[in-house]
Amino acid sequence: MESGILSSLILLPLLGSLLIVILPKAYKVFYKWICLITQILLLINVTTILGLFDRTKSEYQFIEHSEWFRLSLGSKSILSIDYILGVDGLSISLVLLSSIVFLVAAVSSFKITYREKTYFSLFLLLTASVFGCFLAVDFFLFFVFFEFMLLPMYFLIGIWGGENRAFASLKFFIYTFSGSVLILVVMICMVISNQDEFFTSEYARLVYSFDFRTLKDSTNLIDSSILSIKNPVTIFGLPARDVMFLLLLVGFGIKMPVVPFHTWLPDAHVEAPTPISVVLAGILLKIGGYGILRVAYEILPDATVKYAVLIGALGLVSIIYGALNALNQTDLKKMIAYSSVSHMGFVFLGISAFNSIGFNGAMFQMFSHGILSSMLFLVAGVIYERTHNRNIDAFQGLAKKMPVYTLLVAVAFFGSLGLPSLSGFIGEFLTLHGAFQSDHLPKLIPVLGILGIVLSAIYFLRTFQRMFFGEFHTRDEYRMLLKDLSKTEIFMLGSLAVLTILTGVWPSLIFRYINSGLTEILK
Amino acid sequence: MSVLQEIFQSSTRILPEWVLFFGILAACLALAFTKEGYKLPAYVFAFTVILYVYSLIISASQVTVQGESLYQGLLHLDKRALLIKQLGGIAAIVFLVHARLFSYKLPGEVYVLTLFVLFGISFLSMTTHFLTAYVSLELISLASYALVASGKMKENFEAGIKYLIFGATASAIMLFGISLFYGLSHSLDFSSAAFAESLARNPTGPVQVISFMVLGGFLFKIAAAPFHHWVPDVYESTSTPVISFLSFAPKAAGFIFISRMVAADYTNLNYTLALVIVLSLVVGNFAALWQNNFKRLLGYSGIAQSGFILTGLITGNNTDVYGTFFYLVIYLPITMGSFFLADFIRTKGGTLDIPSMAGLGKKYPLLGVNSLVILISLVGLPPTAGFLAKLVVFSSLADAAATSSGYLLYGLLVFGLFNAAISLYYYLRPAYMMIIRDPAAKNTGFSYDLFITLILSWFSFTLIYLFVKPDFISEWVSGVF
Repeated sequence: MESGILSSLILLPLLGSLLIVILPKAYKVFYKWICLITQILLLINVTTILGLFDRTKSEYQFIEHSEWFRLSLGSKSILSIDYILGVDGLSISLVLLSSIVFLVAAVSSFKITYREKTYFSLFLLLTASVFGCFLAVDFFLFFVFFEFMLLPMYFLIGIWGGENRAFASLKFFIYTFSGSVLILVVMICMVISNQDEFFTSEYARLVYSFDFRTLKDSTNLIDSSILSIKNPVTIFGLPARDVMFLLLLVGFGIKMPVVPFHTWLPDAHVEAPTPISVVLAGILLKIGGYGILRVAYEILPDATVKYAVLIGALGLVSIIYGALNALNQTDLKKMIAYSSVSHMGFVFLGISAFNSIGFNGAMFQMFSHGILSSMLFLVAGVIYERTHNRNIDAFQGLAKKMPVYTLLVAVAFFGSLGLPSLSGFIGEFLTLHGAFQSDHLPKLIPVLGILGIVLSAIYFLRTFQRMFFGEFHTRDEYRMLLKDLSKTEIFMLGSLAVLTILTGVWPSLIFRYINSGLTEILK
Repeated sequence: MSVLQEIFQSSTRILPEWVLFFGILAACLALAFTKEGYKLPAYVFAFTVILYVYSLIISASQVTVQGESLYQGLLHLDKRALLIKQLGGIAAIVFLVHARLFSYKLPGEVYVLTLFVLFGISFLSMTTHFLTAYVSLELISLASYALVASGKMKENFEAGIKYLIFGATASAIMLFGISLFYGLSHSLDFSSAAFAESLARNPTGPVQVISFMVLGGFLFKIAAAPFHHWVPDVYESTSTPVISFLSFAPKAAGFIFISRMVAADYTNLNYTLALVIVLSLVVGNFAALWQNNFKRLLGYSGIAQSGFILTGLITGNNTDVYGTFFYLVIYLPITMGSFFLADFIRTKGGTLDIPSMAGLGKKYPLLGVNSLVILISLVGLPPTAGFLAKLVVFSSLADAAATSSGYLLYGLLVFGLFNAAISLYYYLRPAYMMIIRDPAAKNTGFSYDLFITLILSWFSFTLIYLFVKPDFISEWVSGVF
């Protein structure tokens, strides 16, 4: 059954982008509408996929498979690269998340008035590569989309960013590119350690396949290769499989980002325009977590289990360090950026637990953080667009002046600090619960992890208090500028708030899709 | 068969070289009997090169993969040689188109000398014999020195002298190495069994050192460290179409010769090559970080790229030197495209300083996109063919690492790819200037040319097309193995 519905998720934005490029500048009012309509169509397609998705199956569904090309490595071996798309329990929630966040970001992009043509075509290119990354079942395809994502992002931050954008975008690019180089090393080593037996006999040459399903199956391992389980190879005293895992951890850890590889994130976030911050925090960070689960957990499960404590500890350090940094920020956007580091730490904590609760919690945390951080960055954008000032101390008593805004900010803040009945709570609770029950982690890690929740309560509540409570007080020139939310802003923040509450009250909305896929990994 | 008969027999097999030979004669005559500024040598050049490529195509069917020995082992004609000759021919055509498009008034001598270079490449690509190798290498070198020094500026002369002195030193080192090899093995044909046998009786250390000395002459040709000192000056001052040709064709010939030495397998050259690769990557990448002149930057980038191409020569059980040839085919549009871009910016904007490119891509989006594609294929980012080239060479390196003992090759794998990340910084700088920065006030003098931008698109389109459909090169290159 090849319906082509997954390809449509990649092709639609590409076509939209092309349309924008072709359309002359005289029609530039249409650019944002083309972008928005594309995103709506994508959401419709994603909803269709959700409807048709068989929740009981753990393997890939809606598979689309066609041969792409064969590269020979000389007379004895061939690299076989295919175009394979599929969706399973691991990726489906992230596909849904991307679609929602991109739609919101597209609405938020309506305010862009500088070089619209370039902006909206790059934005759609970014959309295509993000969907490609989540849907790819071929490692090569995954990597191509993973790397290609950097280019539009570089220009989106570099052209439409704040004052220090050149530095921030370059730092972002070089950091994440170094990460993907490590992933490339692992990809090469993995691929040349696995043979595709069927094609090897057909071509009478060694065929290396990039298919995740082939790589996952340890019977395909070549005995004399680096990743061989039977004849372990050691590199500097460590088994090669462990080294590969560590490289992946760093590579995806930079993307995620996990302390100590996080320093690009605050810079990129502070400089990026609001919609791009939303996409960056809402989706791109999730690709790090997704990549670890997809590549490290599925292909190198034995090495991964050994380092459960390391993953947990990295998660813990991120939680605490991110929270402490957030405490100390006066720039609202910077505070939110560090809170992202802290909250993504819970994802690591959850996946280090190696039990069903932890995994489900981590996936849920990714979804919930995607929604909440998008909200938070929109919240920061609202203030910044009105006053061009993001300093927390510059505002006081906004509640009286902007009541609707205050309500929605409250949802975002309380959701993020983990108030029960909002989505943030479920994710944090389950990751910690999983970590407590885990056989692989010392109890100290989740115990200290709870500290992260306390800290995040401190900085969110303090910020909320300072900015919204008390007498309305700000600089005179801002008084006229600070108006309550417009209809579009209410739509964006409101729909995200509804999702937060909905998934917070009824989490199985997400769990029923992801559960079977995660149980499969645990085996 | 008597010796004389064999010589006659062999002479019938080298039709493309005969074409070049008579082309050179005709070009010399045209040069001698026409006034300065007359275009006849250029026409002779065009005719010769086209005939050369055509003769390569018609003689292709007679050439086998294993190859045959001509002139009692002095030449070895096989499919690989044919591939390099084809690439050389294509590069010469691109050179001519480039020079014509930018209306260069090159003196007639340049065309004759370029034919000489091609002649040398043709022979160097099909030899496993040190004598022929030396003669053809010198043929390429001498013609290149003259080409570099042929401009009227003082810088051309300086660059030419620099090139000559370093070249002569490299040749001397190489000759010394060859003489030592001859002393050890009494043979000049390194593919022969006798050569390998007699070297096997000697300790590996000295053999490695001598190999490195012999490689020196060719490392000089491919601009690999530590024989790279001539590169920046020569690249900066030589006229762009000429250096575009010199940055590719002699390199390709150098690589095929090194690949033959590796394939002869008289000793394991992996570690020697690894050393050269590390040096080239470090020197090329780190020096390029500080460059402000685009052509100088391309010079240093050429050094680093040589390091990447050499990576394909490190081989393991399941791979052979295929990666290098694959990279070379993709390197043709990359390097010649980037020089085309450089020339476009210089002739239309008057300067090659990277900061002066500010805002060009913003003003002319097509130019911006094309430059971006060419620059990211130098980095090796998808979706360009540069990525596939890096993937193939590093896959073969990983295979070699798996079969070797020790961690050196794993280290090289990680180190090499990290260098790609370093190179991102300096390759992105022109793209950043063009696309993100606003144009500087003094930059208004740029006269845009849509036609040339479209020609530039041809390079960038090729690079993207080859990423999506690499089967064509893959089959072309795997046909020679």
